[in-house]
Amino acid sequence: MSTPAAEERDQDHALISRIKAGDERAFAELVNQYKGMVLNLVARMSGKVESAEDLAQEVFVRVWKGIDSFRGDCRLSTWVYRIALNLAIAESKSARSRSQFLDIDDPTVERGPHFVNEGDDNPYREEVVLKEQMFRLLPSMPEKHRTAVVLFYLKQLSYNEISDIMGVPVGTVKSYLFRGKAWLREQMFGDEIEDLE
Amino acid sequence: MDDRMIDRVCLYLAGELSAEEKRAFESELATNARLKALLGQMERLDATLADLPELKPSSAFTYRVLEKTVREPVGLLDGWTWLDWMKGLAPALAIGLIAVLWGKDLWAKTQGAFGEGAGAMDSVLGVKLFADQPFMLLGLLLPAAILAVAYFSLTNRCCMER
Repeated sequence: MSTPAAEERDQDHALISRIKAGDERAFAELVNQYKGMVLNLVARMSGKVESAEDLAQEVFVRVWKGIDSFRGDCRLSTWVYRIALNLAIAESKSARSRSQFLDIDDPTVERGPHFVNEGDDNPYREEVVLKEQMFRLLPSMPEKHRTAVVLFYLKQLSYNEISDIMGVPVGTVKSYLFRGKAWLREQMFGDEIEDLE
Repeated sequence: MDDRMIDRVCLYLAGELSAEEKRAFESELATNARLKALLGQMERLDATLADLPELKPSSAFTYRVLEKTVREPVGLLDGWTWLDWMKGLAPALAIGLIAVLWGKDLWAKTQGAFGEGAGAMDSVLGVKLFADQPFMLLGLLLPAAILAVAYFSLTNRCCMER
């Protein structure tokens, strides 16, 4: 009896073979399977919500162009997420270098999503503000910490899966995750508990 | 805030402390207000991270990806073979031939009907509008020829893509 991991590998292999044979529907299946995860991954990694869809489409264009080089030595999902991460990281780096020359009052400069408006009497306002703040902070988090945090919380990937995607040992993944959370805590709550005994 | 304290809180929240470490941590919580507050902050952080809103791909997402990949549009004339060219040019050549062969005959017929009018127009405008009759007819038929090329080219292209 085959394990779920072996089953997934077989399914990946079958899908890849069909795509390599030029089956358009097989590629559409791949896109449909991963588009949600890829879209949110690039949005959170790059912080560019409005252009996330274009970026996510570019991920699949690269998947398509590189499909012949996929040797099957990792899971298909791992390979797709690696491409998405590389593209999102490159995008956030170029956005950061561009922002050095951007006017802060320029209305075209993207500042992340707005979940709440001024004067909004939403009873969950504080929670919503916290989410908005977090969404804006994520792209500034050190790259490796951000990768671990985003992968862990987006689809609750296991440490092993994140370790495969990032190409680092599980212990390092945990360390990145904890340091990332510590960084976020520092940014969001500052030293408000420092005086406590 | 020291990293060791944060790591302990993270490990506690992830359920990764041993039974003994967990007991020690929980008993420290009762006396250490700072640790308790830190735990509260990290729990809140965890909950917020896990509950961040997710974007939904647009309904045209897959279609757009396919447009850029498997159905990547090529230039109108890219990859044309001589056969494709012939399919496009044949109707245009046919229309051109008809224009040249029938032009003279058609002109002779229109001379009778509009000959005087044409002469009047010529004198008004000071130009011989109908003097070069085969070119006038070609001038009318040339756009039709171009449309024919475009039509057959495009339909030929669409058939190839399907």
